[in-house]
Amino acid sequence: MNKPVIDGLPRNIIVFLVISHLVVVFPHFSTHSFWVLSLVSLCLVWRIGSSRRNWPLPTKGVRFVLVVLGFAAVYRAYGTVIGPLAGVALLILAYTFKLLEAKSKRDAYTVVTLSYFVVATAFLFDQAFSKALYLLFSCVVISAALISINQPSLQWKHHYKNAVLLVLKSLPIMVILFLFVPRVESFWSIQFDNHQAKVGLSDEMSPGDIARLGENDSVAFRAKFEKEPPPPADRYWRAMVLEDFDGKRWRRRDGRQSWGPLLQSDQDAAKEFWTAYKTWFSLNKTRQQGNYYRYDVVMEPSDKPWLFALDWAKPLTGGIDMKNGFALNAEKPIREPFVYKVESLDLTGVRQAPNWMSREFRRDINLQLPTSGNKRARQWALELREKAGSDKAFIAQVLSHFREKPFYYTLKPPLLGKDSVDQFLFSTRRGFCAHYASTFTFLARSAGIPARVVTGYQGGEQSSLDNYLLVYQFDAHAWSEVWLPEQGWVRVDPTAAVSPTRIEKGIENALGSSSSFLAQRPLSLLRYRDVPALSRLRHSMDYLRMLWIQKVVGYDGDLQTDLFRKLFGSSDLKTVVFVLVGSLIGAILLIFLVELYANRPPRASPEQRIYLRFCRKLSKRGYEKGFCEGETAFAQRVSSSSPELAEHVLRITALYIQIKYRPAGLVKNGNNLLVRDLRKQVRRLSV
Amino acid sequence: MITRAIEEASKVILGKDHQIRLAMVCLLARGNLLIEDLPGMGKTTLSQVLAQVFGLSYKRIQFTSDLLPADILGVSVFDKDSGDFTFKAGPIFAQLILADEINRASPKTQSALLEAMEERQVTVEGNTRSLPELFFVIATQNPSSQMGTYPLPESQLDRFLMRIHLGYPPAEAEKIMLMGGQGAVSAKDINTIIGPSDLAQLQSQVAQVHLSEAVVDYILRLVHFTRQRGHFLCGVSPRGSSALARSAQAWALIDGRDFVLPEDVQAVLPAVMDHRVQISSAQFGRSNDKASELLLSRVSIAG
Repeated sequence: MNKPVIDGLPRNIIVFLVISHLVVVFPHFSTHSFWVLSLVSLCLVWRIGSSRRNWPLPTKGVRFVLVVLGFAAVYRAYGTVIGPLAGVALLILAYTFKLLEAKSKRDAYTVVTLSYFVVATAFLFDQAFSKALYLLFSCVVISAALISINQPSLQWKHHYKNAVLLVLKSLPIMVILFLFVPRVESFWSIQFDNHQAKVGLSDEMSPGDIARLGENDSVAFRAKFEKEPPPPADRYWRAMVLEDFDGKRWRRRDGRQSWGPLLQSDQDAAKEFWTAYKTWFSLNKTRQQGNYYRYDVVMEPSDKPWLFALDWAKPLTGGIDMKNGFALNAEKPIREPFVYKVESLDLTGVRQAPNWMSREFRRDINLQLPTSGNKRARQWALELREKAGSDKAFIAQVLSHFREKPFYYTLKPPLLGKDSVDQFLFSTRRGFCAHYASTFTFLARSAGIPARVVTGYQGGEQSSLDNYLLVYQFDAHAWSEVWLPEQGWVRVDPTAAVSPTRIEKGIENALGSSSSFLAQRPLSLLRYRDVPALSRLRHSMDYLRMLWIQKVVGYDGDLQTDLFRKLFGSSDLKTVVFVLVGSLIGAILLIFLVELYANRPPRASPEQRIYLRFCRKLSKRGYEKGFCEGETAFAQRVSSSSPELAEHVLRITALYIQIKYRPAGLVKNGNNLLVRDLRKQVRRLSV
Repeated sequence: MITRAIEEASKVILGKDHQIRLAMVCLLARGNLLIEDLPGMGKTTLSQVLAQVFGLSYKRIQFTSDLLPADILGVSVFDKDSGDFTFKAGPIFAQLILADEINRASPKTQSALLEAMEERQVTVEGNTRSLPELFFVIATQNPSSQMGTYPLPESQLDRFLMRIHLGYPPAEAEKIMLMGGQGAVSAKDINTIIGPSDLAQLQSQVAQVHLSEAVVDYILRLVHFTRQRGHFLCGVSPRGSSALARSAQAWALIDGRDFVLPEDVQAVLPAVMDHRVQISSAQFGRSNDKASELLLSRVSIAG
């Protein structure tokens, strides 16, 4: 038979360990599966039961079963027992099992070490500022558990106080390690699958898609401008261009899954196009054509590769491509907050379409229409084109049609059937930007004008803190571009015709006080934009997050090299090691000095300082006052062996004793007089 | 006045100025004195001399193994003439009592004396009788290594303000004693210098002697040192620290000062501390070492 296992750990240590376990595992609750978590909870309940109600701890056989169950639960959840997610799940299980079987101080130390490690793994999945704060808090809780193992007799308040002090003292070291430890790129480039679905634009658009984003109040990205941001009506953030229409959906031209080169068949042409674009851009820039903007975009993870920029954009950060339709694309889907620098030229007024652009322009693609369907709309467009006489006049007439007929801008449009364009144009007449953009592009193509749909964001809230714009998911927008031979691509936003407020003042004003905006999110701070204090709070919170993304999460090998160059003039290995070791020693020394200062002896009183001077004088004669020797005894020792000093030394000692040990005199400032006398006497003493 | 009393006492007890001083400190601080030494070192003479110098009524109780509490406190005796019980006061109703060889009596008898010392009153057969206002016990004991002794436990040792050793007299002093010449004076021959009423006044003056914060801090450091783990078997009680302060005040008074110096504390430290704490042998090799030596060499005077 198995012998019952005896629990040798004091109860209060168990309490501390269980609390730190809960705190450490809490951030993993959302990521891990039900089976793993129930196994963890079972072990915790067992542990608490054994320390409170003297339940027996698991025997060897039971522990074996638990380990097998653990592996099974992880395999069931992730289909594997390797890889980041499964690995972390196994680590958490191992940590829990160790806590369950801990019965000696040594085990408790192991548990504490493991919990520090589990804390670090939480960073693999989420690197938000709030998470960092929480992990710092976890470190305090774990350190308190560690202190409780070493000093079990103290009260819990002392444990936590000491733990806070300990963590605070370690902060400078943390900062130094963060700044100066070389970044090992290969290790951190492991791909961590984020199972959380990200919101954002997709590379397809059917009427109603973007309306769904209209309910979402999370930040899509922020743009920090070096100077003034553009006026609201010009804030068109291009994300991608959709050119294929199948009667219902608009798709990207180069395939649904594609973020390959511009012209997949022709690498040289892509390069040529790219060079031509850059030359054209810098030419316009030097000629000071249009409005020039330079800004950093701090983007939230979207799980998609497309980036956002004002027209016409040129990326200043490496690893960004320009894709079909002058949209910016990253090499990989954006899974972590991402920062990039862009410059843009708003050339709305410029007439001439450059030659290279005309050459790239492919008329057939931008006239493509499904072979059948929406007959009424096609017919209507053709007739209107004929009546209008020119492309420009046609566009103007379509827009005024939208403006004058009872079209409405709404987040809740009625569902459309088979001939969606016909239905929208002639009967429902209620829609969101996607409806208008889609319908307008369809009409233009039907009339023989090359046109396409552009999606992205429109607008952005100016932050009260800095020159930066906050662009939310509900700012998602779709508009059209038409090709006019003398001007090139020209932006036409039919939504502006229906609801000018949407473009000028943002969606929340366009929807008016009907309160349908963010109706499902009563707690969203965005609903209370009118309250300046709340707005400032919201902006400050986002600013903090932006700084965090820019300065901490975005701090990579390149920025580190820059920092080293700026601070130390070089970034070779020798400098790095020297700086790292040097600053660590400096920080430890600093912490030590602070400790020393905090525990310094109280400041000496004036008479004590004078007496010390007196002692120093006598020490020149070889008389050292022992620290256990009284003043009188010392004076007598001195005067008996150096009688010539006796009178003076005894007088000084008598004075000092009078100040130090006698009751304070009745005379006001009596002591001050004595101190003055003492100082004079000590000054006169010559040895 | 006190100086003259000391001079007078040293006429009899030759070469023991420091011990006489300590005994007087003890008397002034209203404490009780324990003298520990070998037989024949002048313990009895010292107590006689003190009684003589201060003009106190003096009783001596020789403690033996068959001594009973009633022998000390007194008994009620049936008086045939009056047909009543009358209380025959025991030797404890005196101002100065010499409890000679206290560790030869049984613990029961010891505790009767010690309780009287502490409470300054005795209860016999249900009647509580208070002892004289001036009440001073000098107990002598033989080193406990001698045969037939019941060593006093720590709790009872703590009730004595001081414990002193007389030690062998210096050679010249012993010579004078043996020669029996001019210098030798017997205890009976000396004069009363300070009367009981003056003594009471001096006792009340002790409490007026100024204890500066620096000195109190020094006393606290000393006491705290004994309480730290490892140095001693157990730390000094608060009674011990107040004993130290009071003795230092009395010492300062005898020295003619109205304020206490650290040197006063150091002067009385061995007598006040050595019987209260014991060095733990684990830390410092020989446990025979005096606690006071360690304290005097390890605790800093300056704050």
